[in-house]
Amino acid sequence: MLQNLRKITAHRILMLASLLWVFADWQPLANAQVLGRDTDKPRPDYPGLDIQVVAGWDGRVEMNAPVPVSFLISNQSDQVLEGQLILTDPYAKKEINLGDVFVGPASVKRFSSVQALTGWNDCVATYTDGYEVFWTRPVSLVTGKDFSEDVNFLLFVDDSGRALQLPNADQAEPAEPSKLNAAQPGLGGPLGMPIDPSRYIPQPGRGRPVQPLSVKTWQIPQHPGPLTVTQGILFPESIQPDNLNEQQWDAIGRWMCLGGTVFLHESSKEVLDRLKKAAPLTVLPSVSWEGTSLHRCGGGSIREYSGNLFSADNAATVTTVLEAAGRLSRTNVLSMIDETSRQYLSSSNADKTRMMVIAVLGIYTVFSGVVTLLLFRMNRRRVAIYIGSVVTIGCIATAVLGGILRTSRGDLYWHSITQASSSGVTQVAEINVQSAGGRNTSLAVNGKQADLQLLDNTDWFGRGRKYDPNYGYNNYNYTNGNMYYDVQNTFTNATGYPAFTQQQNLLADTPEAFRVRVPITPWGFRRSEATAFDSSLNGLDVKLSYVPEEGASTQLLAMGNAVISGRGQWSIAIENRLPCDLTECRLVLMTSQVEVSTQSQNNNLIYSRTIQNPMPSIRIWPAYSTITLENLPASASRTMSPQNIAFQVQRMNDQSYGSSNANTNPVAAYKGAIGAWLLGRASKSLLLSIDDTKSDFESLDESHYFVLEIYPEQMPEEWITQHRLWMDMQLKSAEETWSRLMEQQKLPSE
Amino acid sequence: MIAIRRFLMLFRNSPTYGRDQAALISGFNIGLAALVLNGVVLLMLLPLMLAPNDRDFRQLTESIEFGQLLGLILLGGATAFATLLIPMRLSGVFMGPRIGRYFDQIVLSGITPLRFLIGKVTSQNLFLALMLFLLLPWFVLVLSLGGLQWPVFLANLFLLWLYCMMLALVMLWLTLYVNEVMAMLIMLICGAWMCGLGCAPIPYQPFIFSPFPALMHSIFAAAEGIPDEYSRSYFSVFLSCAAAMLSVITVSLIAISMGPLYGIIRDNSTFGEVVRAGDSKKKRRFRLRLHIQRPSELAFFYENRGDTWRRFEGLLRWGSGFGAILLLAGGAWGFVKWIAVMEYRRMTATAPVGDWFYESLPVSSHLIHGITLVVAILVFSHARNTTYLRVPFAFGWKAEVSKLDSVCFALVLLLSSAVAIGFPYWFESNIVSSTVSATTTGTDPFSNYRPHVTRLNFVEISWKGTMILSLSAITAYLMLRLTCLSMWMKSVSFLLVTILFGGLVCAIPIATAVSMRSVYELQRYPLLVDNAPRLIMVSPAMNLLKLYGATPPNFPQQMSTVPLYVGQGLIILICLFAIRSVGRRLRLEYPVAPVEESR
Repeated sequence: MLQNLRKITAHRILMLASLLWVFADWQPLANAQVLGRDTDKPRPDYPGLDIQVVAGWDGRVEMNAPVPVSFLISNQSDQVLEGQLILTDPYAKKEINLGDVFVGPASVKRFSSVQALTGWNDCVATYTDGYEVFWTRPVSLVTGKDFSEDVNFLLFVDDSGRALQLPNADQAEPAEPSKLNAAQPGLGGPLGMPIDPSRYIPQPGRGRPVQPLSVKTWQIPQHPGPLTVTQGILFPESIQPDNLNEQQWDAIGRWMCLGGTVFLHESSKEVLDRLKKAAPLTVLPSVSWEGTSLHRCGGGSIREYSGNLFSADNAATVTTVLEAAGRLSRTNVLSMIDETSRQYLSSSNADKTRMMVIAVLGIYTVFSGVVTLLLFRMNRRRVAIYIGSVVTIGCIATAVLGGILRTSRGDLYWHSITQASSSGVTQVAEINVQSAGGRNTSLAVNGKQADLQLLDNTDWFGRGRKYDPNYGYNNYNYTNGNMYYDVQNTFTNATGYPAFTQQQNLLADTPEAFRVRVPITPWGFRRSEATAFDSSLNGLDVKLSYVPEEGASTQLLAMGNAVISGRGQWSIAIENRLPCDLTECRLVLMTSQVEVSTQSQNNNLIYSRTIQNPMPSIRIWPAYSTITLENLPASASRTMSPQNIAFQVQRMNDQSYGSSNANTNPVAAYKGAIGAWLLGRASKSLLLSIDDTKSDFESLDESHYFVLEIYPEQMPEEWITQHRLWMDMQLKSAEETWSRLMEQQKLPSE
Repeated sequence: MIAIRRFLMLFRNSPTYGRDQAALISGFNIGLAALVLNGVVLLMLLPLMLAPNDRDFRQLTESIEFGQLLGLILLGGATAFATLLIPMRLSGVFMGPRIGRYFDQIVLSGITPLRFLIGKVTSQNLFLALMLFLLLPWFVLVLSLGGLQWPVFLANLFLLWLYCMMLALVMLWLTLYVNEVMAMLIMLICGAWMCGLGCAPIPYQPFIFSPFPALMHSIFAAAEGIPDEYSRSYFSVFLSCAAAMLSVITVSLIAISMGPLYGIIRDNSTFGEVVRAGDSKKKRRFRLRLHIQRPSELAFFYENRGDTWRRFEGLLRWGSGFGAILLLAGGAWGFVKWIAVMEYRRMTATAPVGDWFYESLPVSSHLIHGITLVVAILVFSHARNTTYLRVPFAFGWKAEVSKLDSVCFALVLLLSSAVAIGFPYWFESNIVSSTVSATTTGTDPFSNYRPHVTRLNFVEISWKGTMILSLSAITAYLMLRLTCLSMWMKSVSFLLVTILFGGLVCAIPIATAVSMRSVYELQRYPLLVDNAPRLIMVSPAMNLLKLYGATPPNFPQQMSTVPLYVGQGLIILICLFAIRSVGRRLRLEYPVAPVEESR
């Protein structure tokens, strides 16, 4: 009997051990198979299932921006497919579950998502129901092409698969690279490299190169974030409102108000109306400008073109569109907020809780360690009572401490930039939060048409010139898990939103409120960006007038190495229609100066490595004039009597003046452009506010800036005419000088 | 039931356990433990709190719940603490009674060494309990923060307990052979090394003699850049660690139970002192022989051990030594074979195999063969008081230690030599010949490097080198056996022989020959100059160098190896005669029959 019992017990133990072994060891293997990590093995797709997946735009992926990952799923089988779309990075062990996707028999489904893929090396997309892998493919992320070049990107949205034919596509003869590279750094590569035939190259001083990118309608995301890396969207005349769904139109409308430009055919009135409906700000009536009908809307615009894009007789249409696209600005209110410096000096809850933890545990260590050591003369009973008491008190203290940490409110610091225009007001805010020991907290903002997105954590260092509260600005970049001193990213060309994964509004039922989850490590930082739009506010009314001096119609006056005179009288009238006071106001006017330089091209760090003997090159520098204005209380008006102003040439790195904070100047739309901005500090946040009741963070510090851009069509006509003449003359003179210098360089060698 | 009761009594009824239990609750013990433990944990936690935005920390805390991470930190801190304090706490196990001059009473009490020492091991459970008690506030913090995975935490706690037991047992095992302070230092270094390597992200982590591979598992599973293939499931890591530590615990228990083999002869037959002839004429400081006194006292103590292993003592001691050497050498040979075959097949799939590969085969063979023989020389030799001891080998049949040593060394020598000669033959005939023609060579025609070892001669070089190594090993072994006959400590004898063999046999012939050829005054004597190469070939080192073509450029290439065999043969003969002569005298110091006490 006893022997039988022993046998049974041993048998059971053996069974249990086998079961444990099976469950413990096979699960990871199963997971690995489900996640498609063994991508080397070809895996047959589910019969009848066809999925197209695209990350980024036409082979370009900006990893430091939100990446659109779009799927077109076609199910030609007679089964309903029910599964999840999963993105995995096998190397970095990252996994994103995009959610459940149901595809009915004989149907096609679009699925798009906005993801932060910073630090991803490989990406494998898998469609699986957890047991069976229906479909898996690698998705190209590291393509070697991104959006950081100083080039304007134009999305050509067409489902027919046609590509935009560039007017200079058959231009076989490369231009003088040494001359033009300096004037147009976006020509397509280091010195001496051939011109990229896929780009439109405008004349020097007339805009940036334009890179058209062909995309399908199903690739348009449902959030403006991924679109902000581009400057324009070109719709062919065949576009219809129902080609895009409501969320896609809304995303385009918001992107437009943040600085994007939509090119529409003049016959697409339904689409224009759809866009007007989708835009959160008022679309202004059209004005004729540069061969197109221009509708301003916030920081962006809608431009109507005439003619056919694909007709051989209408090549001028494409040229007009591309010329206009080349003159769009790469900087907008999003890039301004990205580079605005901030310094927060308030005491924080995080520091307090951190000190509490250190204090409690430190005191416990002292009382349980040092003090107990001093009790060497006490008897065992007393020592036991003492240490028991210390441990008990320590337990109570740490339990209380744990409770405090879990319920602690984190720190919140934020600053915003409000962009005002006749079509309404846009506010973009950067909100920095720090945990005070807790995690999985939430953040909520209130504001009209508010949106709030939590930026990718790695982005704290990811886009080059970022502010770290501990170390200030840094030039470090993380790639493949290693930190590099990133020379090229020192003055980054990154534009638009930093990387984020789109989150849905947790307060979708509450009007004018947006709440997101903020997964945060204890005492860790997170950054988020919020936007709000209000079409009812009317901004400022600014009237600029310029009366040129007599005899100054053909040229400006060079007064010295770095100063040029406007040679005319400027007068300004401003009326503040905003419900807030504006302080530290200044009006910034900008023109350009062309010169031939024989200096080493230190301004461009990529080229400076390759050039041993500096060659003469033509450079276009911005020249700024800043007029300090008196404070503008709400509803106040100011006028400035006519005066002559001087422009200071700024010979610095291409991007170093690209900041909108109180001490630096805004960036020109392109080299050779004119510009005018009214900058200041707002006394309060106009649209956005932190919802303290629904946020787990306490607002400790905030600052708000204000910017108003005076667009070229709002500039005095006399000034525009004079600037064009001045630029033509300068460029002609510079080319002559350049040719002469080149001849002189050739002579000694000959 | 009686057996179980006896087993339990072994742990409960130990005087050291009672002593430790009584001394545990003291200001010094608790204070020191709390200070070190909390300090270690706080130091591990501070970086996470002060630099939460560090990319690695952030990546870690995003993947693992903070509570879970804190739990791992606590157990990691406790492991580090145990590594530091357990060897320290055990450093007084024999030192205390010996300094307190009551060790003779312990010996006379008749307590078995296992029962005496096991109390120290079981008292580590009390220490572990104290550790966990002092960590209670931390655990409360972990619980209040949430996120702790209980099964993983408890499994790690079990490994920590095993680690504490293993540390204690290995430390006690070590103290039987070396001084406690030295044992403590060795344990600290080895423990830190093992813990450090256990933290490394090594594929199929071999350093599983600490809980760290299991503790780090979830961190590596979440860490970026470490492929999944590097880590197995947690359960297999846990099993590996538990099995490894349990094996060490078992071996240590048996070793502690059996004790060191240290003979008692005339000189050390008095407990507490070592008296040799002529001591009355020496000053006191020359009569102090602590290095003999301590192991002799332990030998007396181990006379109290039970009869459990006594009938098979020889088999267990020499069998385990022989088995361990075979196991390690077999593992090394298996690894080399696996690597060589795999690499060879991989390389032949694309291009001819380079000569460097054929050069690496005899190098690997000679390396493993040489190390095996060095270990065998060290293991199968004993000090003067043990060499002629007669121990029961199996079923009570007694054999002399020297004979067992000789037989085991000869077996290892033969087996290792056979494998070292056979492996290249096997590789040549089964792998190389079956894949390429004999003339195919991978030598780079554009390279200046012309290796001495090629595909055509690597087998010959392998067996020739093996012969040189085997002969040298016999010489060294006999030299060690000879020095052991006059030494009480094998380690000192080994050191002496290393110096003697390295200097006298290997280096001096080379130095002498070089001076013969290079000193101007000596060059007048043609006899010296002509015979210098012959003298230099007496050295096994130079023979090996010549074999690998690593001799100096002006060195004659066609030199006979006869001087080596003659020289080594002479030394072997001298050693044999000396051993015979010294051994005869030494045998007189051994008791005629082993002292047996009735118990």
